[in-house]
Amino acid sequence: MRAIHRKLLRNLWVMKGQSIAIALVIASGIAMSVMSLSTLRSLQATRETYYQRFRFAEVFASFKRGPLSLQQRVEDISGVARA
Amino acid sequence: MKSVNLIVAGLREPAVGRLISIPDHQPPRLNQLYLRRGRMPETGGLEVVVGESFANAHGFQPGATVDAILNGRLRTLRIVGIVLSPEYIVEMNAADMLPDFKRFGVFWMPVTEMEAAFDMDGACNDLSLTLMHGAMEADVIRQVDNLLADWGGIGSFGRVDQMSHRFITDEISQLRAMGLVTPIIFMSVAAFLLNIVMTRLIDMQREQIATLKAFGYHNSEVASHYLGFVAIIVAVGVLVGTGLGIRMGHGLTQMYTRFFHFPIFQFDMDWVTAVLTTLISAVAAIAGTIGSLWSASRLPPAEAMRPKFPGEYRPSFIEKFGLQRWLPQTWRMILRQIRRRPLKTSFSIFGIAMAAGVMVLGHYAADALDFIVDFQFRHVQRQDLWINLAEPSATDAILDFHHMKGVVTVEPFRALPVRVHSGPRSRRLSILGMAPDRKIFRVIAQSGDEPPLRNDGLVLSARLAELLQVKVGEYVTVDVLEGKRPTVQVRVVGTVDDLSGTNAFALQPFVNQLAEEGPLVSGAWMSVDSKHLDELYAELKATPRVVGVTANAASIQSFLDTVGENQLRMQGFVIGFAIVIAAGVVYNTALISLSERDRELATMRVLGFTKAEISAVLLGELAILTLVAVPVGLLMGYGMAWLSSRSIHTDVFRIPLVIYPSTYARAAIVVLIAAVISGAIVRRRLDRLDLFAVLKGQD
Amino acid sequence: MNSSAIAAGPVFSARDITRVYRMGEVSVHALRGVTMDLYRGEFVVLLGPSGSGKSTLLNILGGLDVPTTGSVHFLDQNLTQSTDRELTQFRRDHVGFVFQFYNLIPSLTARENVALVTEIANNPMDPAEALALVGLEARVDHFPAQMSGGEQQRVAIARAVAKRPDVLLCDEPTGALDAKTGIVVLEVIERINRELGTTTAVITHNAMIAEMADRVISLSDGRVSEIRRNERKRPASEIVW
Repeated sequence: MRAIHRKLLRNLWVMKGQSIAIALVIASGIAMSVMSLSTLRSLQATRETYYQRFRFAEVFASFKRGPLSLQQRVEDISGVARA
Repeated sequence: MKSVNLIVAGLREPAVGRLISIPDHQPPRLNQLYLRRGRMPETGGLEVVVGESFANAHGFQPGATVDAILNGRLRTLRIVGIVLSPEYIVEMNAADMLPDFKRFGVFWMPVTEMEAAFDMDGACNDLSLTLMHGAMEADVIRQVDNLLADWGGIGSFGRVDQMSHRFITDEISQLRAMGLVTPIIFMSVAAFLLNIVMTRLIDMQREQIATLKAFGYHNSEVASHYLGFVAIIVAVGVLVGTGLGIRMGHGLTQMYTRFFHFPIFQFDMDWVTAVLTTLISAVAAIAGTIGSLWSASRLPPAEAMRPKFPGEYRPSFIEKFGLQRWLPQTWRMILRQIRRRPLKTSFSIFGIAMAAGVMVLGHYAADALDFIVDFQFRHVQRQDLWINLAEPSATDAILDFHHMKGVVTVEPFRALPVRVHSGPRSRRLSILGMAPDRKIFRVIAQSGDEPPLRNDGLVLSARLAELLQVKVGEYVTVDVLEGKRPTVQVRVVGTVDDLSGTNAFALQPFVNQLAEEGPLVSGAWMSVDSKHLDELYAELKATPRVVGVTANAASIQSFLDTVGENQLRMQGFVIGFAIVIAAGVVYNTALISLSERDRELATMRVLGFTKAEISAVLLGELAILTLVAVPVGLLMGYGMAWLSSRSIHTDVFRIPLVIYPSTYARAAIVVLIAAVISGAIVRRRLDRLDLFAVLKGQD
Repeated sequence: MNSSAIAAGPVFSARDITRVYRMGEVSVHALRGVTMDLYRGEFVVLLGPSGSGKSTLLNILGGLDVPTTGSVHFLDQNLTQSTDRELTQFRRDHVGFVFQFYNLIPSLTARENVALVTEIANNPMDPAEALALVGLEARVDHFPAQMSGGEQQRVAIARAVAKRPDVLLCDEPTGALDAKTGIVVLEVIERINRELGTTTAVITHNAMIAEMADRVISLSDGRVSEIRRNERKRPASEIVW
């Protein structure tokens, strides 16, 4: 290791309290951000997988009372995959 | 799909059950079920499977039974399995603000059983569908609505308006705000700390820098040497932070997975965020230190051999007013030190203030939720019972309620399902038609104002007006989704800054006029003498027209408890981080002051000051900074809460800007404690420091 | 000092250099027109009271500072027209400095302080060899704070000569030392000059030290007042003050 690098490490060691305090502030910010956004991403992915695997619908319709044949007629609407 | 009243053993009030039909011997085509325990229901014997939240709330296991009023008759449903459904990840009633797992349950039943129980042979009342890739959802919704208009369709909607989907989206969107705001706060504090530490380090090493240069080290080599300090600190911060973030993210994802009853667990590390936050820290670090790195590299090697001039001091402004007579010498030193470095002083204050701000911001969500619940159930929905009728009925249906034992007041209402358009924007909602004089369910703004409802237009939730981009006096197009289904232009006559999402209000006759119907009611709000509550419940359970009874605030307690548990854990993180910031700033500022002034303090020791007295000079400065910083930080916390209340757009409820005094107090106390502890550490260091050696030494 | 060195021309030649510092509203004239040469292998003492401009002259010769007017040449290189980068390279390749207050890096051991320089030099000695040259074989792994002033200054000399510089510039090398250790340090400088043939310039206000030199250049009030050649160099060990 070059002498100037040793100087760096020894200076850093003398300032270790301060250096650790600053590193912790940075770490906290990153931890908070990585935690939040990873969780967000995970939950969105989990939900997406769940939706796909269990075929969650995309459009929902309620009505008073209609014949079962409505299902076929809805499925015939262009753009509808399955009803 | 049918809503029914449930009679659950051990529950005084009726619960609302939602019965959904599934094919007899095969999985549904859409919205399939995940069987957690037990088996799927067979026909013949009123077998059902039940959603896990409701089952857990009552401790139901396969084999349990629950009574329900099916088509006016009391029947016993046999629970044979416990399931999860993507449609009811959060099991909640569209009419409710918050889930109530004890009083709302979802059941799935074979379709032939359903048809038999409700005389619905060959009929259905609910459809859902998936889209082909690239299909326009709005087009499909329009066509479905056209098709279903003849069958009493009340408007189809996409996932955005689907209750469970929307609730989850709102819940997890708060994570985005947190993930985006926090790194900015922390990195600005880190940039400041790096700034004071590196400036001081380079200042102290002027001679060493000059020596390096005298021996032929290039400016860039010197600058990169000092950049190395910054790089190592940042690298450690990034590695520790990312590792910690992954661990905590894993834990939080597990917590949410349990909370939402997801049948699968999946953790995806967001590497983009990791890379971005690393870049942000690097940028912040460089922004904080570029000045001192530059001055290190510009330092002429010959001039650095000369000692530095003493710093320039001037009387502080307090002294300008002639107040110094009352100030002891040590206080003058403190004030002049603060005055001499206004930038450093204000950054120190800013840093400590950030800690308090983070605390306030961290507790703001909990305060807001508390406020919402309190506001909604003490000022808005003051009913003891909310009763929904099976279908809009003539007003005399309500008269019966007046005669029931225990009923004190009855306020009927008309809820008309509509789709409101303004330009390309539209929302599906129910217009509430209310009585001119409202004692129980009020239309009231956060400020306490009660805008009058009118017979010539709608009063919209401020949030709805914002979403539709309409102002008072403008017109919206209303498609009525019931009865004769007319489309009418309606004027917006007012807005109300309420909390409970996107509502439209008017007087009851106006709503019936919109629907081109006579005077009909959809239900009633009632206040009740609690002594007769049990009898009243019994009577309501047996009233066939009543399809839903929702009890008041107490009912959401179980939900709030769950949320509270989650929030408590997040609170722990926030307090920890606030302490890191406060301690980091106080500790660093103190050590820098100590190293800048060790000669001065040593001289004072020689002149006969005690250790305690010289500590006072150093720590007094910090005490003043902290005391100034706390109120500043509380204000900043308020500001950040305001920003986040603007940035989190949830439809289910608005997040009001409410922060309780206890939150401010907690923030102030945590920051003060962190400051005192850091001060104590510095004090110990000061006590151990051989100040007399400082006077002899060269640097 | 032999005549062939003079015939080869000077290593350094300064012509009519001045140096003016601006300190706020006052101008300080540190040098008021100095002309001098330094020849290969010679031992020169720059003698003068404090404020005579000798440190400024040394800094200019060493490429730490540039004159306000006049010219300085090191061999063919015009130092007055060199960029900051070229001056740095010049110092790196050709100059060894010894300072009054040693200027060791406190966080590095003796060996590492020497290595700091040898690592950026073209044809350096081994740091241990350089330290042996100044008689500090036993102290290589000590930190500055663990050494006496004389030892620290010898480390500084080892650091200056380890890269085999063309010229060794010493600014009051004994200024912070007592007489006994000062002599030890002067002996080391003398030996370096003799054994390695390094051109050496030493600044001092002490006339006794001047007796060690081949030539003595006296400065007063920013001007050269006298240049004299010592007929007999007195060895450092015979100096008393």
